Amino acid sequence: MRRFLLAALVSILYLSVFADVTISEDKTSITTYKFENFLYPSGPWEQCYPYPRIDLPDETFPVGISAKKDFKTVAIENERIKATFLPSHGGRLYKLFDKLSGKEVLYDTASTKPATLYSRGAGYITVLGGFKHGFPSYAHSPSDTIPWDYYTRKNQDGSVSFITWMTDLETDLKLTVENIIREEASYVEFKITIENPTPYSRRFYYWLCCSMEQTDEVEFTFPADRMVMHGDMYGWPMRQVIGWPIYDGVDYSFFSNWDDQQGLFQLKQQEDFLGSYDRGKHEGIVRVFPHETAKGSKLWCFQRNNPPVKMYSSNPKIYYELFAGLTESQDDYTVMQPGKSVSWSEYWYPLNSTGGFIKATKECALNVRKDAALNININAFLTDRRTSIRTELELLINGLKYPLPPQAETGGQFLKAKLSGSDLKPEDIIEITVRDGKNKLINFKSNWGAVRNE
Amino acid sequence: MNKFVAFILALISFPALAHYNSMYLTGKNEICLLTRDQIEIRADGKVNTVAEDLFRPFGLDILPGGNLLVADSGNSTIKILDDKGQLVSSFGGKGNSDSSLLRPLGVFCDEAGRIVVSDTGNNCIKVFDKEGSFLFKFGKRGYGDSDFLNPFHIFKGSNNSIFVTDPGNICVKRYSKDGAFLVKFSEKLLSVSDAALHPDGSIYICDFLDRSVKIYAADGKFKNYYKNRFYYNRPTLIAINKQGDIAVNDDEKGTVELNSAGKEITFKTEGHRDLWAYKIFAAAAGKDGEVYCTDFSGDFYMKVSKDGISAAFGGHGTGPGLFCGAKGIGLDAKGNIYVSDSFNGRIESFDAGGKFLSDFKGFDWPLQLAVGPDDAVYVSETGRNLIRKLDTAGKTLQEIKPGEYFNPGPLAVDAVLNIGVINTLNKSFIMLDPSGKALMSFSFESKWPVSVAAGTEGNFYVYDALESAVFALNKGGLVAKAKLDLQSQRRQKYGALIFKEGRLFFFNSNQLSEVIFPTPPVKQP
Repeated sequence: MRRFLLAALVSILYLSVFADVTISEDKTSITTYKFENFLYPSGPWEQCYPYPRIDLPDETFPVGISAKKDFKTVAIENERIKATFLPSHGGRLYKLFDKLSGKEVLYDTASTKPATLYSRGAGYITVLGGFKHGFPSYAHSPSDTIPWDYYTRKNQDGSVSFITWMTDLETDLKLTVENIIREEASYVEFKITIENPTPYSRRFYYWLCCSMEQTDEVEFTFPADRMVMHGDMYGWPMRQVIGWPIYDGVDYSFFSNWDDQQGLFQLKQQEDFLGSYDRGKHEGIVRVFPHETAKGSKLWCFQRNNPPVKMYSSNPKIYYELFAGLTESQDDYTVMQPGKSVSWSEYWYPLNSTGGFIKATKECALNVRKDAALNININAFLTDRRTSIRTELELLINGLKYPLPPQAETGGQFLKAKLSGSDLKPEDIIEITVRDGKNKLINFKSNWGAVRNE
Repeated sequence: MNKFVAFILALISFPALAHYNSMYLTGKNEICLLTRDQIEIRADGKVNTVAEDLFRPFGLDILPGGNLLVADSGNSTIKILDDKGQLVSSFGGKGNSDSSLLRPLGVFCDEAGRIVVSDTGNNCIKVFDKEGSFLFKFGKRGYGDSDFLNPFHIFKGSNNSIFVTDPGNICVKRYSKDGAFLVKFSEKLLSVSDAALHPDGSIYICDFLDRSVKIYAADGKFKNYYKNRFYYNRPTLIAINKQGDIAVNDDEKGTVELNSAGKEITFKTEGHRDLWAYKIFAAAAGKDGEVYCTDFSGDFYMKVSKDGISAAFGGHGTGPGLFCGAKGIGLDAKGNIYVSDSFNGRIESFDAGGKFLSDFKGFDWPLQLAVGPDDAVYVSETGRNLIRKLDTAGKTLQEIKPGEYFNPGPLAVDAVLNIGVINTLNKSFIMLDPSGKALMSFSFESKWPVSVAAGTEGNFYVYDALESAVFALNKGGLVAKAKLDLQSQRRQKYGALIFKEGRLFFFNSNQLSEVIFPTPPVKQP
């Protein structure tokens, strides 16, 4: 009884001390290139109409003079994460600070360097970093460079929202993104709504793009066995389907194996999660989403050696992109009927100290690996501080409960356990569950032979 | 300048990354070229710069007396220039007040001397006196008869009425000289860019998504197609003069076609491309010795005779006969041509002359295809991980999926209807019987197996683009290999195999050459 009361007291103190979710405003300095003289009016048959098109003097641009300029930022934060937004640059989530690890999670160039990227219509992009919203004509579109409207709101459930929106000048389609941080959770919820207020059917697409710094230690978690190529490679044309993660003897889930740049879409995705993890930085990012609505997931990487990153960024480090779309690929469009709308929520959270992950939910990311000594290494990360103090880890082998070793760490935001798997046969079934009382936060089941090596 | 009899604005947006995007004003024997920063007259090969220091001029009209009225769109200014290009006067300037403008794209001078401006960025039409003083405006952003969504071109009608092309509302509207709404032209339109008034009172509208220039009566009713539907690939701009000469810019073909007194004159614009099947994706043999092919990035298919490419069909778009990625190609016994239109999710068919016949919709990313000796079309439907077999009317006959870990790539069908296909997930060649049962498998790991052909003697042939080699396979496995000498012939390594009349050929760089095996493949018993 005394132990129970003590635990309850600790819980109450823990919850009350860290309950604040705050909103603040500040400014940030961004190196801004001068390219207005290369922006020309466009015609109705061009993809960027009526936004300007860019006609740079040559491919090695920018040569223009750059200057530091201050831009307003809006931040929302709780005790675990801080999300900073740039209303002036497409309402993007510009920085995501992981307070648990003390690291910035997202790639950031702190400069706006123009680059031609439209395939038709000669629009342009400025790679800045963070999360940008490509809408409605292309994944890299004027929507991610123009100022968006916004307001902030404290919600009745204690969460806070940064609500930002734009109306596309060509189609009059409206995109609203409500970015929500809850007091207890380490994820950012993107509540995305697209509306068609016009009397016309409108062809469109939408892609959310997350930029992350690329290193040789990055591992990609895309739960698929095949991917669709976005460009010509390996002798194939774009859109050919290839095996994943191993193709032609190469494991492409590790960036260290990427010799060529390529974009890959998951073909007919069946799972609600994906992401990446940098084993050198011990930091990653997880996306959890409704795959039946948000059908598109894309990974884009530059080639490892001599990437043309200077064309896009003034940051010498390269980046990769995790895209989230409504359509399966960036060559698909969808049509919205007059007066209709579509809305869904995505959850993105930073992940650290787990060595990666193989499965994720909104509440938990789980990593299960086999090491050289054939141990089962289990690491889990919990996003909700309320559940993280009372969670349990459960392991079943061939349906029988397996006792956790005494050194297993449970009951915190990280769950860790190492068990010997040397007696297991490849066909043995292991099942791992993280639960909060009766609620399963995550469940993983596989035969031992299919568990990946560390 | 008054010798101009017709004008057209033609902005060239292709190729995509071209830096010199120009607009054209066509005359009887000359073209007036509006570049991004100047106006030039080009005649008989000579270039005469008329005006400079412009920032993407769009709208243009000739004033009585010969001065030039220009919408200097990038500067949000209307300029009047003399015939030497010297600035006479200007008005406007960037802003949203009555007297200022935001990216004005259209301008004309009516018979009363008023200057009418399409103030695109402010979504209204503004009327100024000849000195540039604001008189009145009409319209606002919206969907109603008196609203606009990015109005583009404007031109004058009878009684100084005002025509406005309204791309965002997919229509052309006519207003009185005072700005009162009169009539809307929207029937059958999928898109709108430019329009023009014919001397007979008809309105000609460029519907670039529908590949057509449509003709309307003055009351807004659709009458007919100019030339015929699908004649153009992407008609974006049109001009008609008082004599009824018609000039149309085709953004996809890269041409301006001027019909003057029944005579056709074609100007090649900067977007024009000479056809060159550079990186062959697929090829099939025609009846009369020609080859039909697609290339990796093209939105068309080509007919190649011994003298090179003799014709190309298609263009970029979603309409009939257009493509978003023309990929697989095959011919049936009648000589009809089937092409997979990958990103539009359909198979399109054409007669031997290239005339569009029909499209079979509802495919999930079709890429390669083959027409079998049974005249059935076999499609690698990559989005569904299977081969779909259909008849020449598009009816599905069979779906073939030899296993879960399968995605179809290049394929061919032999005389007994066995199918040879590359599983692109692991680069294996699989031979299937007509029911879809696997008969054999051969790994092409570390190779680029980009083309498959079926022989008549029980062999299938696979071309490996990485090593420029052809492999002969039958139920027993690999039976022969031939290395192609493309380097000395200066030919691209991408290409396609064609088997015809008992011989195997390799096609690329507009050439067809027979594949000779050092050791001939064993004939299948």
